[in-house]
Amino acid sequence: MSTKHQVIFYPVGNGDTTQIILHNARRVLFDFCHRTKGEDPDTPEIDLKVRLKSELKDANREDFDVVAFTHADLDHIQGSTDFFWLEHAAIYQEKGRIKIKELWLPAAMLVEEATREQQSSEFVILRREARHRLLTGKGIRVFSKPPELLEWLHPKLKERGESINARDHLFVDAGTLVPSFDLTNDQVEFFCHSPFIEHCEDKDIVRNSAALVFNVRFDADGKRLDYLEIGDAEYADLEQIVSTSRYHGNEDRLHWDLFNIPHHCSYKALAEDKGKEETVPVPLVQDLLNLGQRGSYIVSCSCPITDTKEAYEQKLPPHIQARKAYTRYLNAVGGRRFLVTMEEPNGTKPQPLVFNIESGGVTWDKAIAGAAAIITSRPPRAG
Amino acid sequence: MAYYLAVGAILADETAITLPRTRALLTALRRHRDFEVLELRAFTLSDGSRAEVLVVEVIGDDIPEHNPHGVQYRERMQIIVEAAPERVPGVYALRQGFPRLAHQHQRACGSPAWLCLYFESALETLRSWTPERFLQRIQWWLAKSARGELHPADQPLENLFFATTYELVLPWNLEALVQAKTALEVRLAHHRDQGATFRLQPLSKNDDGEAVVFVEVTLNPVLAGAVEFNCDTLGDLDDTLAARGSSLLPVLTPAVRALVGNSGVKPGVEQQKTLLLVHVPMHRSEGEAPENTKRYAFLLSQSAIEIGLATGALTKVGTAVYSSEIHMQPEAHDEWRILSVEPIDVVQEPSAPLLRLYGGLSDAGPIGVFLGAGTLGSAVLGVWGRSGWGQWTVVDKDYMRPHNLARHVAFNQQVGMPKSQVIADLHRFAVPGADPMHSVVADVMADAVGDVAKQFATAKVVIDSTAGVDYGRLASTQPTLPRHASIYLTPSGNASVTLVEDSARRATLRTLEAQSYRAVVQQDWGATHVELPAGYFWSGASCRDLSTVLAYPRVILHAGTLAEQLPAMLAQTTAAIRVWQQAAQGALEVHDVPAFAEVVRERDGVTVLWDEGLEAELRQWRSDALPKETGGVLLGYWDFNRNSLTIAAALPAPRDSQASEGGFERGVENLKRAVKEANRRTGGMLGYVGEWHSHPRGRTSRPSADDLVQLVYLALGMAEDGLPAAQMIIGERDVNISLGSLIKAT
Repeated sequence: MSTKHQVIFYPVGNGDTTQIILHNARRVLFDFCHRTKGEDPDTPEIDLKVRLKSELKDANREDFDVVAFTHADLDHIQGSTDFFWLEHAAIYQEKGRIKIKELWLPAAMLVEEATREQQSSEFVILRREARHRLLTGKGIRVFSKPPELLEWLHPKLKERGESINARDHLFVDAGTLVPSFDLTNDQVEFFCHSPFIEHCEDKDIVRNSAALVFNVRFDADGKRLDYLEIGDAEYADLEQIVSTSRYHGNEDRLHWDLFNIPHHCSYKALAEDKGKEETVPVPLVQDLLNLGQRGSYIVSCSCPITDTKEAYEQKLPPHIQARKAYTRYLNAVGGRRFLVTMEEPNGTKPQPLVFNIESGGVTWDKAIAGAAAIITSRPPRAG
Repeated sequence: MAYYLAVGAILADETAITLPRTRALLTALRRHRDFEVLELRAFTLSDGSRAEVLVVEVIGDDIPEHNPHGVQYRERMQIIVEAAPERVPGVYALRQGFPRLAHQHQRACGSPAWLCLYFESALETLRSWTPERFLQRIQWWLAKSARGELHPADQPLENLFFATTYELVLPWNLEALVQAKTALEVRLAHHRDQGATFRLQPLSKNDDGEAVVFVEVTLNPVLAGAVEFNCDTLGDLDDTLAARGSSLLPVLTPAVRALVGNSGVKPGVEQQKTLLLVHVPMHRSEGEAPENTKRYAFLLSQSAIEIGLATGALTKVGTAVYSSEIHMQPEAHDEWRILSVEPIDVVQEPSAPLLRLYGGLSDAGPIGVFLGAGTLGSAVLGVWGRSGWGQWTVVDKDYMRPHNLARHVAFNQQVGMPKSQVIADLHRFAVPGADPMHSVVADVMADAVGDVAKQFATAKVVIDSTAGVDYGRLASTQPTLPRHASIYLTPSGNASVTLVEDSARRATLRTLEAQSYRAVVQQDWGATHVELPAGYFWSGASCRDLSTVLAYPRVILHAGTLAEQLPAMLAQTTAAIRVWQQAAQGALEVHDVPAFAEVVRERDGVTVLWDEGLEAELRQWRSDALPKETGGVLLGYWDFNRNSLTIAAALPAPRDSQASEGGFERGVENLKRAVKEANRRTGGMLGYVGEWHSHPRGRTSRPSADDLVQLVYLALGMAEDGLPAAQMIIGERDVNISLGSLIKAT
């Protein structure tokens, strides 16, 4: 049987949730953004919890191999703490919660300080979970190893009577591969672009800059295909990633056949200036965009991006000017489509974007329409 | 990129488009995000009719970029629409480097690749053709091609038994031949080491087999009863004949003299036998005309010349033999009396009544038309022909191809002949005594007023053994036609289905077809009814020459069953649906499906069809749910050749549906699986066509405001497939059907 991996993007509004299903059935979930309003069938956002549970049930599973939170912004973690089984406290262990075999987080999520009011916030709960897993040394990978974290970790390890190096194997540095997967056994490898250590050295952590960025390299029967997974990042972070990769001779890790563009199509991931009609990316970001491969796709995890007069004035992402810039570069490299999670197949009831990764390349497995779609939906009530 | 020039002259704008199908395609193209219209063109075909051309670019997101076949993400195509509505639009790839792929029509070098989009005939294709589906098909073809996945037959004892290794076969119609004074001859048909078969036949121009000299003797009529020929010599034989008032020499003498003629012959060196045939007319009492004739034959080891010389009928002068009439006073001889004779078996070719007698049939069968001389048809006709059942006109448009020999009652020499002619010839070769089969080489779908129609005038029954559903559906719309029955095999040959109309044709083939699908969907045996064939093979150069692997034993198994059972079913006046299905270890299970009368409603120019059985089922579900409403989805199919929607089955409410006394919201639990399964079980025939729901106690089936909202929703959804949506409502006493479709603004 020929190899087929899948990458699925869920329509969660301006938010991120992406799942990789490997040919060998291992599942990696990037971010979790459950919109409560998605539970109402009349809203366009997907009911993420119901959807993911149904997918897992079909696969006869109750867990993910990996859940990665790229950073702690609400649109990347929302609803996660009442969906997942958390190891650190019994109140998060009711029946029906989904288990995480391995949790991936940027170090920033473990050191970020919280105010008293924020103690019940989800990022704080996830911080507790991460610290618990790190201390017990099970089911976690922490990306970058800032001194602040070690200042907390080392005394705790001493208290447990363990060596201060006892958790070193759980840390992953930028510029290296995550040991949890390899091309031989999984036909995939995760190369960590970010965070760099300096991202976390500042007392004033900028979450987006300290976020996880990966080159996910798939192997499909000998064909190499690259997926660039960026949660939220700004152009300066991308500049740094491009120059660092070049410096270390890792420019091939910037290639992309599939690109999850940063921050819901914000112009800030391209340049300082939004531009009137179209954002002009800074040179290094241009270089990154030019590394798109023939037949590639760009995905914007965002609300629909319309080309109306008002759209040009819009403050919050997504930005039409950025879309136009991305589309220009996509066309130039012989790419295929710029797709928006909340637009497919329509803005009223978008369906997840499913991409197949096979030796022939990346193909978009379109959502069904017509009779096939009606039988999977509830028609309006008959009287 | 280099492209071939599209055909035709460029049209200024779309107002110059005149063909409705082009317009519909253009609308669908404009709505489709993956197609871009580049040019509109038109030209005149050699027959003077108009053709319009849409030059488009299509992109395929499921085409792998690095596919080994070289299909590109974006391809330029010309779609040629001909004025004749029965012509499916042609699709040509204009890119000069477009690959040579499996499913293309033959084309001249240096011209655009002509995509072969459909396996089915134009008729079958157009049955469910919509512009939207056509566009989907182009994309499907490109993606599948890119991935290399498009592949894709009481005799009373009147003499002592005797053992002989020789036999004489009489023609089945000997009496008629004798009456007509037809010249007859005997030929040695087959010579064996210890014997031979001779055939008595009309004098034929061809000289198959060696001619044998024979002499006939007809006795005076005898009373019914035994005539015992117990003779070893020609003398004994003559004595026996003399006892019956006949004599051998007066008939033998002129017969042998005729052989030498006036000029005499020189006897050959070869030893030649002589056959003596004795006709014994039988009558019941003296003075009455004979009722029949018994025949006896004897073989003499001498040649007729030798016998003639022995009797003195001939005489030898020098080396030549002449009639002894050359002598003034011929000498009588007695030598002939000691010539030994051997009685041989006399058998007759069977006539139709004899065939039926041998087969245990009491009924002669109808005068009928048999449509389709294919695998199953030829086998069933082979059985009926040999059984002498029915007088058939066989209609088929195809001719014999080499691969047909694997499962067709035909000979290699007949390859290239029309199939109907093959069957008629084989029948004649096999059992010339049976009623002849007539062959009509015609497409029954295209020849409604030609040779086929003439046959219908005298036929009492039409057997539809065509391999498709189209003829049955067409015939169902023709009330003047005779009673029809349809027989077919499932693709793997594991099951056969028989649909028999009632003699008044209230339940025609089309509703029986639909009802059989419902049974397949609902009954346990339906799960294994349509098995995929064991494989496929290419039987020719055209892309429609995809044949399925089908074991001949299965064909024969079902042909035998059908040939036996169908006459019994036709003997009844009621409609019937019967399925025979093979179970483990070859057991054949029979499933009778109740047949119901058809319900026909016209809606917006569409004929909507269902049956009373479906209605009764929905009514039962309604009463089970009362006082609440209930509902579910409708399964059926569109036939654009007939402009009809057939609702064949319905599914009950999914478990997660919300029902109240005032409303019903259909759920989704297990629905996709159930619809998919219904589709699988019916070989892709049944699909979702709409929704049904019930109205509460005392309420009619009139649609409520909510119902209309639902219909709009369904219509919008179904428009993606280019189809209207159906909504059926079951009221206290009545049933309402509505169709909703998206009207495209022009």
